[in-house]
Amino acid sequence: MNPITVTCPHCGHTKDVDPRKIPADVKSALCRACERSFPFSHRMETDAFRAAVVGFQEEIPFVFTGKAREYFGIWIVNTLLKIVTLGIYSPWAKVRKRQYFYGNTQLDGENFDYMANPLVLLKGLLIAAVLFICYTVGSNYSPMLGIILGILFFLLMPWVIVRSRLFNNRNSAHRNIRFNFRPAYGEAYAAYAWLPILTPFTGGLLFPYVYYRQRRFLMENNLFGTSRFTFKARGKDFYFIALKTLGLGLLLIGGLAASTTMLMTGLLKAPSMSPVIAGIATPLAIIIGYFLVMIYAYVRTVNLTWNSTLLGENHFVSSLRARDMSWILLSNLAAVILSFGLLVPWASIRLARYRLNKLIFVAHGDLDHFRAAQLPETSAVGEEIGDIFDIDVAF
Amino acid sequence: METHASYFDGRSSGSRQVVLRIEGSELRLHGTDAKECWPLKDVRLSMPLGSIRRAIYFPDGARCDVEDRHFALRIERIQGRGKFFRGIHSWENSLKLAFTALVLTIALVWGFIQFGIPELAERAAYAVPPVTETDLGQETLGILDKTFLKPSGLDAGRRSELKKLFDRVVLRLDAADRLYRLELRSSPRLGANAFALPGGIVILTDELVALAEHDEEIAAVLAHEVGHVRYRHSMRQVIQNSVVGLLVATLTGDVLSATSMAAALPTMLVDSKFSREMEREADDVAVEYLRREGETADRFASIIARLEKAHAGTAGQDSGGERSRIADYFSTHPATEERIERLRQGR
Repeated sequence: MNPITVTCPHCGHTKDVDPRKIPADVKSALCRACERSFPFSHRMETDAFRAAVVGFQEEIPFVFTGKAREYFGIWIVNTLLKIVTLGIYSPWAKVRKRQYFYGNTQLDGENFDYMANPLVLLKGLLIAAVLFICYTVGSNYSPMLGIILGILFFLLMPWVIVRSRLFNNRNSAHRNIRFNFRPAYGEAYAAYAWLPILTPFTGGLLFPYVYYRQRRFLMENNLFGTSRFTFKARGKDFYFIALKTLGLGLLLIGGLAASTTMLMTGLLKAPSMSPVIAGIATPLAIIIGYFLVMIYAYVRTVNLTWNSTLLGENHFVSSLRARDMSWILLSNLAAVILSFGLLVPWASIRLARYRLNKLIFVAHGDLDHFRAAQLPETSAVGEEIGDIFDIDVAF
Repeated sequence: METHASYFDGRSSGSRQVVLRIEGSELRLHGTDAKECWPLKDVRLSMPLGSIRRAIYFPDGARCDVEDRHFALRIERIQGRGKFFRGIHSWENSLKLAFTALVLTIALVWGFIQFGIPELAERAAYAVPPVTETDLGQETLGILDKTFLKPSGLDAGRRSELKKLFDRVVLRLDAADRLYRLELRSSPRLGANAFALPGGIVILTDELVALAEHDEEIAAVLAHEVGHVRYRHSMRQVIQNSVVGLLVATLTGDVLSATSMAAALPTMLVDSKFSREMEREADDVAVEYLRREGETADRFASIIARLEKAHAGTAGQDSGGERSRIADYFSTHPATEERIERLRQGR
């Protein structure tokens, strides 16, 4: 019998195999060259197999290789130099931090790259610092001026978000193809200014929709080279999460109220429970309960956002779990507080590793077909304003 | 010297394996179908960071990822660039040096809070216009009146006597720099007490008046408070606390919530006592007043001894016993025995 040629769909490695040596019930094969598995059955003819590969979906996991020990060194040197230089070093510190996290995030064996020029960031930082001082001095000097400046900043915020994303994406790359962002100012103003203004008048009912519009705006305008991202979630998906979160919240409040009542009336015998302990335990339980509900909502929205996102024909699978995330975030918080902040690097690495381990890129075809676009230089003003006023647009 | 590298042309996401070779002052690229050559001075390297492989950026937008550290180092050496971040990188990577950075960071933050902030606060306090200071003091008095203080229960005669006493203290100390004003209050919660607010307001409680055995004792306490005003201690304290708050806020990342300092002012003034240094400065003013009056520092020493005893009694603390050194160091008020000792020696 003639040997058949098996070609690995990942790396193109070929091997001639005697068909008699292939087990009858085989479903997948492992490539010796790249050590990845692919679906395979022994009845498959070589040509038929090749045809199957064309419609082949490949799950490529994100891999995070950052190490707490390594990042501790970077973090502490960054902190020290920021203090010694009175903050002038912070753009360099920021670039090093980002580069460390991007550089240790791999997809298909290639790491991401953050290429921002710290000098451009420094310029942005100086402008942002001047604005911040104006705001602080202004609002201390007269409350009226503070309100006016606050409104101005509110109106400026959508612009800041667009500029910040533009700068960030254009300086991020994978396989030497830069990301980009479409400056959709109209959408930004709708999602970050007009709709949030309307929300209070609807008694907060609009909030899930506003949140949906913000996620959609941030995702849909991303570009990888010339390839577009699409976002197929609907407003109702976010309302569904909001309802489930609300339900969970009510359940927790009910449970807390019931257990407190039972403790108070002595139905549930707890002789060691003095009123003082109950007085501390109840607010603590409320705070932790609040955290858990918020983490639940966060995990659900992050999963929904990624799972509804397409890059060209490819899509993402995010499978974060609320209980894992709660454990990681609460133990991180405890570790950071008890170590007076020294475990911050460890906590950041741990969180990044978990998040990326749960993210998968599902590729239709190979990753070699993305094309670059021509990009002009971008200033970092938006990026730094967003940073100093703590506008978080990451997800 | 040569090495293998992954080559990305920057136009499409495809990669290919190439061989890079340093030839004199040029970097030659042997690819499967490309053969390029770039002057070494025109290529740029990514910063060395952790154990991430180095990237070489070419002027045409292409990039090579190089696993070989020595190869990247060689290029940098020839270029004569990248020294600073090579240093930073080895600093970050050495456990011993990172630990040194940690110790230095803690020392710097501590030093800044201990020395830098008081110095800055002093300069800033003297730069505050008197009008602002008066407004701030007036506002604080208003809030204190609503919370801790009650109107004085002393009769009108005694009140005017005390005001005259205060005027004499101000006159003796040539303290015309501020609009000094005495406010008489009673406060069961604060007990026998006197304190100075920004702008020259001095508050004296009925409880302290009752505790004094001689009017010169009250005068000495008032002189002490005038000392606090003279050296802008309240203002310095307020600025120090808000700068510390701002520092903490920036380190923890929450900047916007730390701006409102007016709300925290009254509690801060009552809760946080003046630092040891400030107390000594004010004590010296009290002694200065007593000398000019022809009195001795004993007047002041005996009232603060009695004040200490009164407060220790209400707080249920051990008054006459020995204090542990640690407790002594952390209390911002100098131990009373130490103050009395200092007053008697200065005689």
